[in-house]
Amino acid sequence: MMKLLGAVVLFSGIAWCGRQRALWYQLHLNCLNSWQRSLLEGERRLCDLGMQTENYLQWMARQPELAQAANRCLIGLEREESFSTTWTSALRAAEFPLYQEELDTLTALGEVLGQYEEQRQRQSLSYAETRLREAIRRAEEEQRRLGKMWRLLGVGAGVFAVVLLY
Amino acid sequence: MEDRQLQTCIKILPREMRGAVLAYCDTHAKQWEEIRLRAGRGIGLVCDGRETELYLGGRPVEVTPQDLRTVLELATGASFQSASEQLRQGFYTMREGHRIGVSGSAAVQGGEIRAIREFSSLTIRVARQMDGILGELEQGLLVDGQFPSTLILSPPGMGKTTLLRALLRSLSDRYSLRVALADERGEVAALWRGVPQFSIGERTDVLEGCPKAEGMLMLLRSMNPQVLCADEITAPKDIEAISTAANCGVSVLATAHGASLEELQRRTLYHTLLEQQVFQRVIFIQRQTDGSRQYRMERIL
Repeated sequence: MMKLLGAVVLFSGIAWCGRQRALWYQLHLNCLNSWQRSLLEGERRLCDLGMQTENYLQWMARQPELAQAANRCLIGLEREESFSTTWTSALRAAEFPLYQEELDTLTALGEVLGQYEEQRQRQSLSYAETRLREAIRRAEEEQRRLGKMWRLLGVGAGVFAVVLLY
Repeated sequence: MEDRQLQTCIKILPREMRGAVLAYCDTHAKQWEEIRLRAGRGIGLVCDGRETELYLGGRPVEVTPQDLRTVLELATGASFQSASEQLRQGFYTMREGHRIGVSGSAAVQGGEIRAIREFSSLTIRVARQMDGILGELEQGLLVDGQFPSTLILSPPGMGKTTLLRALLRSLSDRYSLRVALADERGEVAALWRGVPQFSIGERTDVLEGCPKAEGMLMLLRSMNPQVLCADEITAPKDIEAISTAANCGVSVLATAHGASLEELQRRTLYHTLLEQQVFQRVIFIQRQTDGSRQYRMERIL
């Protein structure tokens, strides 16, 4: 009985690890999509409508995936801290499920957002949005291939471990 | 430091400079009028028209182009895009009405300034509200319950705008008149996010950033004012708008540069204005020996 229980626990544990890894790809894709929507909205609010950066951050704070970073930036604005420093530390603290290259693309925006005229901001937002669209394409492919693979790997490894040990 | 207005201006300086400026201002307690920052050079503080350069450890405090950008970032709340229209005109009005004058390399397209790209210097003008300056003038503002159209006349730098604000407050708050202000350059009300940073009266409606003549006509049509106000009449279109207002039975309060009525008569633009007999009174501003201002109201019709 104990052996059976142990086998089930072992199998579940390894299968869960595989599933978690597969889930990461889903979270990664969701995060990229949220950011892409955010950059498009940023272009609309900051460049088309000339709204305050605070207004854009308040919108961002209503997006579940981006709320933590946006709120940190709003606090920074209130404290009259340098926006680029606040933006960088907010992105780092939020621990987004992103690759370093993608995070660098977003971090670079902190040097431009709210600190230059609308044309320059539009160019930067547009460039970042293009980079994210490419990242989304890769992430979708990754999720399709590797997500399934990790789930199966988890199940397989679990079965293998059980067979090996018992 | 007790100078709250100056403190607000110092808060938008880069952190490394704030301490030096605060320390100097604490040691030399004056009513500082401006903080000037020049890229590649230093910081100057202006009082009574005289500029003092700031030194730290025996050397001028150095200002970099990035420092200028940081000042504007902090002043605009990291919102250059919403400040771009003002910056294109060479200034930005921040909270409390402090005005930042901007200079640098202009990007021009089709003969129009699109932006100022490389900032080379900034002048932060400390705004100070002056209350209780009207004195006896306030008693005689209305005649038979009406405000006669009035022109404020003085040479530049004598405080026409300051007097204008005081009159707006009085007309609006003491005499409960509906006042509409066409504030083309945002110097009178200094709107910041829609809220006047100077006290200009509870019943005063402001249209800012619009060419004066068009602004006055819009206010006339839309805000049903009893008094229409504009700072600095300088163009024939302004005169036309003022005449239209007067013909609609609306009183006008305006300012103009000039030392005397005779001088005004000699200028074609103002000759027309005086001929149309729009203004019934003129307020002259004179500087006393102690630096204070004296106001003299004269009926011309």
